[in-house]
Amino acid sequence: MAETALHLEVVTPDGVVYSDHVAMVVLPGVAGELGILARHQPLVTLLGIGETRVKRLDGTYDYIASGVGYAEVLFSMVMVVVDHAEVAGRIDVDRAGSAARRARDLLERRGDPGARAEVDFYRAEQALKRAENRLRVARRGV
Amino acid sequence: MATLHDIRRRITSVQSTRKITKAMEMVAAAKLRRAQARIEALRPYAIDMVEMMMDLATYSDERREFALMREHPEERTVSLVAMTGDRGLAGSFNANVIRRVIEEDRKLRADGKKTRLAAVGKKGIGTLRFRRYELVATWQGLSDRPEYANARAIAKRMIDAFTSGQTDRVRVVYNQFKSPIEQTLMDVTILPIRREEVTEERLGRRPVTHLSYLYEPDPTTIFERLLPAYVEIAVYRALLESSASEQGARMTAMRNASESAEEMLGDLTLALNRARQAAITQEILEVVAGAEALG
Repeated sequence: MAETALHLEVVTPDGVVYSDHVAMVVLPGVAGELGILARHQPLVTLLGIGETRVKRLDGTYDYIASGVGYAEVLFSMVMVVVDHAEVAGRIDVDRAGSAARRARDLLERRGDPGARAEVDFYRAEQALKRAENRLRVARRGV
Repeated sequence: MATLHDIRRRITSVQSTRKITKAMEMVAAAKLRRAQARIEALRPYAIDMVEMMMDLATYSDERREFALMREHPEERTVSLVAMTGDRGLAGSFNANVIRRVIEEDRKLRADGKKTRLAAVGKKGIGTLRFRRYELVATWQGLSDRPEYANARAIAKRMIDAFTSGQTDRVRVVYNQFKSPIEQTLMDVTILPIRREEVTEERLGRRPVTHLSYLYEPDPTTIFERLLPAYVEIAVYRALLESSASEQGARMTAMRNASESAEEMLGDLTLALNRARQAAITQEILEVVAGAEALG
């Protein structure tokens, strides 16, 4: 099996989130999903907020909610370097839910001219995207 | 001469102060360990990201100008960000940063430049506002446990100010953690990013590879899109260093305070005993004098 196994490592500012030998990785590239198997051509790609799917050696899947960054494929190594990442089973659904609610509340005030100065809508939008992504991936994990 | 009662009261007061400083010392020590662990956790990410940027820089179009790297030929406005803590009682931790920012502000103004000040941490915000400095941006409530999201927010604000031309340079003044008893005051330029910085700072984790990578999209675009992450890492690192320094400085300050309290208690106990002895002697003398008078 050693030849067909990939080593996947997911690195974030808060530490290494995932590190294991796996069968396949599906990455959320900015231009669409990318499936990576062993002996893939060396590759560097930008990643967007989305879901990184991991097929483990036993055939089961792990789902990782991942943020913005890049992935590098070299020989049998896949490095995913992103600003945040959480494995489905470990996502705090309550926290993600309240983050999404907070962001939505902020975005609701978009029409109101007084709020424009104090609320950073771009940031709220990004936060909402991240929170929704985490919720979506969390649901897949169960 | 202080009465027995006064001395006892002082002893109780010093004792409870010592209890507080001891507790703060221990809390700071625990928080320091946590802050150091977070610096460690950031390292692999920072190294991977920076090395990738360097690789990309060598493959990307040299003539291409990146907004975040643009040096302004004539620098008119400089932003200074004071990175302090939310709490005091940490020795000269906050004061050093504030003093340096005020000094630099004065120097820049003397050079005929405009300055924009911003501050992280309640202490910096409070002191600078009190001295009537105008702050263009403030962040508080994060010095205890800075999160990457905080760094992202601060970096975004810096990038916006820089790319919109409100400022030509962004500098951050913060304490770099060396050891619990030593912090180094740093003054670093966050924006513009120096090209040499990206291409020269080899960290040696990965050998230089000459493989034909497939880039998706092209290296120049990836490089441009990852540049903000470079700023975020620099800000996050400063936040973490500052947080660790704050706990270290507080730990040391509180240890010194506990030691002084200890010393003071010794002196007071001595004074108390002496006063007690004097009082007893006085009483005996009075009893004896009374007995003699009767006799």
